[in-house]
Amino acid sequence: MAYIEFRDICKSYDGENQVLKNIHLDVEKGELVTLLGPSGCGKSTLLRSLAGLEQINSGRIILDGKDITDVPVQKRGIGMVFQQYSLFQNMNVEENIAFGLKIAKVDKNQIAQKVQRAIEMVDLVGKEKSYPSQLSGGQQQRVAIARAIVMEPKVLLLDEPLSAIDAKLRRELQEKIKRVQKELKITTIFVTHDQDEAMIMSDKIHLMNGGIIEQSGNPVELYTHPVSKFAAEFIGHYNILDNHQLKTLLPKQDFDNHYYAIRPETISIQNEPIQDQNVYSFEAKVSHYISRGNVLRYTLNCHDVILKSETLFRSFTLFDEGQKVYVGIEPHNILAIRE
Amino acid sequence: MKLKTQLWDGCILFIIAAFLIIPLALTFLYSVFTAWMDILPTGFTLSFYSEILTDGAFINSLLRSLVISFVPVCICSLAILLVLYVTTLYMPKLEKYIEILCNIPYAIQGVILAVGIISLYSGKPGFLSNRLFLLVGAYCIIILPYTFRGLKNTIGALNVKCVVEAAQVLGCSQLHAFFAIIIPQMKNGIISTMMLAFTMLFADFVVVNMIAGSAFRTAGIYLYQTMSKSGQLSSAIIVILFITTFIISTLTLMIQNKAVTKRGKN
Amino acid sequence: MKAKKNYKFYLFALLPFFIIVLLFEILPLINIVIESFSKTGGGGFTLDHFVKIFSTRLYQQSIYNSLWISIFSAVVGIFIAFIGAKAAHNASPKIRNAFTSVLNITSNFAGVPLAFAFMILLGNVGILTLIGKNYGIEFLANYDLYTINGLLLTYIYFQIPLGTLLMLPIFSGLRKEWKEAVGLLGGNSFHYWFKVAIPSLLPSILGTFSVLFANSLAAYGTAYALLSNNISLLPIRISQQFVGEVVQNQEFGCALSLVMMALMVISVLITNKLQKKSGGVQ
Repeated sequence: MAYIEFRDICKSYDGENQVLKNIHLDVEKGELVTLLGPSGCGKSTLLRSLAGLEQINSGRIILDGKDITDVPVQKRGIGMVFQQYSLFQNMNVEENIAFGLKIAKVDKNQIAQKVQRAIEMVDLVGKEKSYPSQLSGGQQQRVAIARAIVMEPKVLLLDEPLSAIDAKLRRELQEKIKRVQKELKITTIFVTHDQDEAMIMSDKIHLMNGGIIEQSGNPVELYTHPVSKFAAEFIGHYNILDNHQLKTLLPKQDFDNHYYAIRPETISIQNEPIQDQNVYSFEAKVSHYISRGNVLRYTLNCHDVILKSETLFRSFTLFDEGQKVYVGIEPHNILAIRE
Repeated sequence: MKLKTQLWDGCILFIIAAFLIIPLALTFLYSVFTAWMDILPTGFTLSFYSEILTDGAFINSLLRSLVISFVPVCICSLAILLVLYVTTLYMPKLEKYIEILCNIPYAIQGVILAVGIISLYSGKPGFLSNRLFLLVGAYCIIILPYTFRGLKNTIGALNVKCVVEAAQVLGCSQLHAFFAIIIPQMKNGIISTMMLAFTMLFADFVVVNMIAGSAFRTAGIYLYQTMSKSGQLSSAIIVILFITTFIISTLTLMIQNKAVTKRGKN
Repeated sequence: MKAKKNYKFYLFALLPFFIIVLLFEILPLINIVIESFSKTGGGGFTLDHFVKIFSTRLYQQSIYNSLWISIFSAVVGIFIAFIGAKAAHNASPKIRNAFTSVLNITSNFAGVPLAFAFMILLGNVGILTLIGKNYGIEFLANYDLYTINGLLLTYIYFQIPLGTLLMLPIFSGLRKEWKEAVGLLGGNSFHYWFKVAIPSLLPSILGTFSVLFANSLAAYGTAYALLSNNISLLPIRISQQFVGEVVQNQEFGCALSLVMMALMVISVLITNKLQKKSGGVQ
């Protein structure tokens, strides 16, 4: 039995829009999992239904062996960090963090201790008496995290907490969240639409699309073996081709499946014909290329089938626009995917 | 060219301001001189003020005005805050209808409101025909549109849903969250709305005259009765009422500023 | 969560509001309507009161006077408010704040105190009247404050602060690019104001007019203090039915009130219609 179990969760708005369609999901104790997907896929709704902030139409949610589907928000023992603006503006940092403990009628001395520990954990020492309006966005989210973990919740939920933070700061905070989670060994569910973030943060990723879970796995699995067109399009920069296009590139091979995905970094390019017989190869022309710092991305055109290839920028391997090149792909890197 | 328009604008503002201030200023001057037969008055004196301020009847009427302006403001503000609690957290669709109810008083201002209340409740049993009870009720309705608008604008500037959800997750009931977190953040807006409502009621004459008349002599009624007796006394009363309103507005501004600096906002 | 939803305790929070509104707004309103159509002293349905209102010269006069003074003071008030708000908008922040403070302070100066102040100024032994008499300025010496024209002056006075405060914010809706565009197309200031700016501000101007109109239609204190019952205005006639020596005729008073309410509603409907027609910037 998993620590958190979602069973047949269904939710729709006004009977029309089905946001969650029979979701079945398990989360193990101490895991940091991410719900990843585009806006509207239902990830936030699923998270909020675990917190009790959204009502589900049918299904059950089980936490640590107990069915909490009908338990009110206040009693679920869950900690949550929202995207922004969730701090209490009329209280300073200390008071914000202590709020939940006061409600739970914890002893005053204990409160002071726990608050102090939480503040140290998120690196906000010295800011105890500041008010939210005096803090930066990153600092405010750290307060929100402290406020959630000080309650020692069974589960920590984070609903796109870093979406409103600048890119540079985001990296720092991602590290911090991971560190805190590992230290406290707290089961955590993280929601994001940014697949880089998901890859960095999680032990396990659940990719959601249109109210269902499209694919689950650890970051490497998800990245190297997307099972569907959606997954391949969402994760990384996969080339997605149908069997007709592949037949155009490699007329001597058979392609039974409808769609295939090829990772750009598995496509190699060279000036001379490829000798290795174990590699599929064909000729193509370079349409253009973009340099993205340490990565070069080439757009290749072979009989009007477009492919994108990415290589690490090592000197001397620049191909010009319009140049004819030889392309090689190992067979196992052409993945069959479903619709 | 720009200077010319600036001068022109300045002139306009000056003329309008002068037109508005002169009657006020003259009322004040009238209260400190015994005679005014020519361009300049004669006989500077503060005797009218000492006469008025030692008159028990006036002081009582002033106190009555203060109380009767304050109580309905509190009642109305509390009622609307409770309504906003429900509409913001539970029934947002209800707000449209509440707004309509709060805008109706625009069409039943002053006389009409008094007429409606008197014609309905005079002669009815028990507290329903109590003049004071009716007066408080009438006053609540008078300030209803302004109080609603002021409080709604204040709460609209806050992110109520998100904050209340955060509080709920921490174990707090929605009611507690509303009163412990939302309302403290509304403090400034609540105070300025209440002050606006207070000054409106304080200056009222129509409604209190019709509903309560001599049964509850407020400063406004006292003033009206003094007008036929002595011009200078009346001006003194007007000035005192004015100063009272001014002191109260300044005090509320001070309270608001104190709250702001405490929180270190800019 | 589901258990809580079944009980909906929060509905109790709506009670105070609804009780107050029911007792003091809805029921009185309904009562006015009912009594307007009831015979004096209770009894059956009748249109007598309305017949009396519209056929008796006394009451016709009061409706006419009320409308006239309200429309006129609102128009003059809007005109002055427009000029004042425009000037204030262009002025430096310091001057604008000072001007706004003056407006705020004097906007409370209405009703009885205002009437009194004007009596000091222009009454029978008013300061300006005496100056006029002493220095032979005909106009001032003979100015009769105690007529409807005199009253009009006081009404204009209290329309100005309210109108200007309402109009101040609308000028920030005017984009300077429009002025520039007009200039580039060969137009001058006149074209700009009358063909572009004012039409676009029209909805807000109409809205302000509506407020000013309702404000003066319902005004009672100033008129009562200045002229007591000697002036034929709707609010005065209405209050006469309920206080004072005149025989109390509640139902008739309600009918008069209904007429006044109808006038207000009609003015709102007209301005709404005109606003929709003119489109423009809200």
